[in-house]
Amino acid sequence: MVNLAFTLAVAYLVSRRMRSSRVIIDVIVYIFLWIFFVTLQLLIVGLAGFLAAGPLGLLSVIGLMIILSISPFRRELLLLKDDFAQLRDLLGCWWQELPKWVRAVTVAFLAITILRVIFLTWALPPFVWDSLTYHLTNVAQWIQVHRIAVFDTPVQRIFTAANYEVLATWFAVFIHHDAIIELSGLPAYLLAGFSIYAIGLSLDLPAWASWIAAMAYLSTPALTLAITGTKNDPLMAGLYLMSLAIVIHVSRRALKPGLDDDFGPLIALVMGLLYAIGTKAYIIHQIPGLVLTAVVFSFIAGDGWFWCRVPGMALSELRRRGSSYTIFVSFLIGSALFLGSYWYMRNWILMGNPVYPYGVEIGTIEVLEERKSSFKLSPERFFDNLKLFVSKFGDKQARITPDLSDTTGWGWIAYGMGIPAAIWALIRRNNYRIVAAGFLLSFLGLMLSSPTSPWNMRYMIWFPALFALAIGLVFSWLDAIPKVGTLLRGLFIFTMSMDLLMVMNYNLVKVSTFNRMLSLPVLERDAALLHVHVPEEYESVIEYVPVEAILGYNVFENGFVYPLFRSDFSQEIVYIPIAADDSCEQIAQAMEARGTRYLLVAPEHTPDGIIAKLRDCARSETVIRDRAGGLYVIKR
Amino acid sequence: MLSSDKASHMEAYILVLGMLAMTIWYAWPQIVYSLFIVYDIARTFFPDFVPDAVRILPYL
Repeated sequence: MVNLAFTLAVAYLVSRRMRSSRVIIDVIVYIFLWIFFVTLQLLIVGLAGFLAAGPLGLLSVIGLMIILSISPFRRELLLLKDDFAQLRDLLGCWWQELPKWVRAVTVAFLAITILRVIFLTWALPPFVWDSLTYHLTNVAQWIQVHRIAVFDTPVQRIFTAANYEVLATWFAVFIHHDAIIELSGLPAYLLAGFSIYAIGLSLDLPAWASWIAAMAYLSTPALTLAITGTKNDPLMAGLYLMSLAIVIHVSRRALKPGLDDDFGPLIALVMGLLYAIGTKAYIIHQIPGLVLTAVVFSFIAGDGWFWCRVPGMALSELRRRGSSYTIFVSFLIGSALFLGSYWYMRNWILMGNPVYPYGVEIGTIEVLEERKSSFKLSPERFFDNLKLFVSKFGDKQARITPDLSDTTGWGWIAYGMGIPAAIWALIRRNNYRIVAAGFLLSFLGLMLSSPTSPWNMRYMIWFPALFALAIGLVFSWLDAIPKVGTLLRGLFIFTMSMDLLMVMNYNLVKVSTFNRMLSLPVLERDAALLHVHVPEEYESVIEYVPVEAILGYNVFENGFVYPLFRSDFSQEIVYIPIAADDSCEQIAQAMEARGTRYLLVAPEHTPDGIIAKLRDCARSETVIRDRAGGLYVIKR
Repeated sequence: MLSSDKASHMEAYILVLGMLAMTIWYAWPQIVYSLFIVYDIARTFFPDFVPDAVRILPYL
C-alpha cells in the first residue's frame, strides 16, 4: 500500500507538469505514467538485487518523505483534493448526460466485468500457455532470487523484452504469492478503454456515443481473456491506442501556434512508444499506421507539415519553460530510453544479438543470424499471414480461448455490429476513413512480420477498436430514430451479453474444475494443480517434493516451468540437461551435480526420448526410481 | 416527411438489417459453445432439473 501511494504520488506530480487541453488525455497520460513508474522502480531495484517487499517498502517510505519534505510538492499533493472534487463534478455531469439505457448498460457492464475479474483472479491460478512457459517464469525466478537477471533454462523466450513481466512482478512481490497476479492486466485494460473514449471524442462523437464505443471494445473476448490471462498483448494494445489517441488529439490542433498545453501529451507519446518497444518489438511494425493517421489529420486541420515542425516547436517550448523543465523532460525521456532499450542491450552484450533468441530476415537477406527461428519480413510471410487471417475470420474453426488458437477472438459485437457499422462509416464519415487507414496500415505491418502460427491473432487484439468506434458513430446517428434506435440498442445489449458470457469461464474451464480449485484454500491454488493445459505430472511436485529441496526439471523450449515454482515461489528449481545417449548413471550425476535428488518430466513438455529413457532407468532398478507419475528420485 | 429523411431512414434500416444478418452469421458455432457454458453451470447447480446430456442426446 505504501508503494502504491508512492507510485501514485510520483505519477500525479509528473502528470501535473504534463497537463493538456483535455481532461480525458490527462487521464490516459496519468494511467500510463503510473504503469511507467511502477516498471521503472522495479527494474532499477531488481537489477540492484533488492527485489523484495522490505527494500521496496523502505524505498517508498523514503520517497514519500522526500516528496512531502519539499514544500512545492507538498502543496501540489494537497491540490489532489481539488482535483478529485473537479473530477467528481465532471463525472456527475457526464453521468447525467448519458441516456438512461446507456446508464443501465454501463452499470451492468461494470458490475459483470468487475465481478468476473475478481472471481477469476480469486478462483484460478494462472494457466495460459505463454505465461507458464516464460512470462511468469521470469516473474517467479526474479522474486525468488530478489534480482532481475537471466538464468539457466531451456525456455529461451525468457530473453525477450519484458517490461510487462516487470509490471506483473509488482502484483506478486509484496505478498510473495501469485494470488492476485491476474490483476496485472487491469492497468492496460483501463488505458485501452479510456483511449478509445478519447479517440471517439476526437472524432466529434458525443460523450455517450464515445462511451458506447469504449464499452464495445472493452467487451472484445480476445482482450478480456488476455487481461486476466497474464499476457503482455493487452499492454501493447493499450499503448498503441494511447498513442493513437494522443496523435489524433495533437494533430487536430495543427494550426494553433506553438505546442503550449499539448507538449505534455507529446512527451507521453514518445515515452509510450519507447516503453512499448521494451514490452514487445512489434510496435515498430505498427508505427507507420500512427504516422499516416498523424499526417492526414494534421493535413485536414490545415497544416500537412505540422509534424515536421513539432521538434522545432518542442525545442522552443523547452526554452520557454526554462532549464528545470528541460531537466525534467530529459529525465523522462532518458528513463523511457532505458525501459525501451535495456532488454535489447542486455541480450546484445550477453548473447551477441539484441533480439535473441530470434534472428532477423528481410526478404532473403539474413540481417541477424540465429539458428532456431527468425523474425521474417518477406512477401511470402505477408501472404501466408493474410491467408491464415482469412481462415480465422468469423471464428468458425474453434472456440475462442485465451491462446486464440485458430480464431481472431473479436467476438459478437465486432463481427455482428462492427463490420456493417465500419462499412457504413467508411462510406459516410471522413474522419473515420483516416483512422481506418491508420489501423489498416498497422495491421498490414504486423502481417508482414508476425509468425504464421495458429495463435498469431493475439498480436491484433487492438484491431477490434476500429469496429467499436464505428459502432459509436452509428449510435450517434441512429439512436434518435424510434424503431431503428430500439433495434440497435437491443442488438448491442444482446451481442455484448454474448461476449461477456463466453469469457466468464475463459470459454474453457468446466464448473467441476472451478469447484476443485475452490475446495482448496486461496493460497494453495497452485498453477500445477489446474489441469487446463498443465499435465497431471506437475501435481506430483506439490504432493511429493519437499519445499526445502531443490527440484530438477527437464522440458523443451516451449515447456511449462512456472508451475514448478509453486504459487508462493518457495520451490527452488534447476534445469537438468539430458543428452539422448546419456546413461542412467550420467543422468543421476547431472542431477547430483546441481544439488537435487528430484527430476520432473512430463509428456508434451519433455522430449519423448528422455521420458522413455527415465522409465527404462526406473524399470531396470538403477539409482533412478519412479516416485510418482513423471517424478523421478535418486536412491543411493 | 422530407425525401432526404426517407432516404436516411432506408439507409438506417439497411444498416441495422445488415447487423442482424451478420450477428446471425456469426452465431454458429459460438452459440453452441455459450450453450455449453450455460448447460455446465445449470447442471452443476440444479442437477435434478437439468438432465444428463447423455439422456438428452437421443432426442436431438
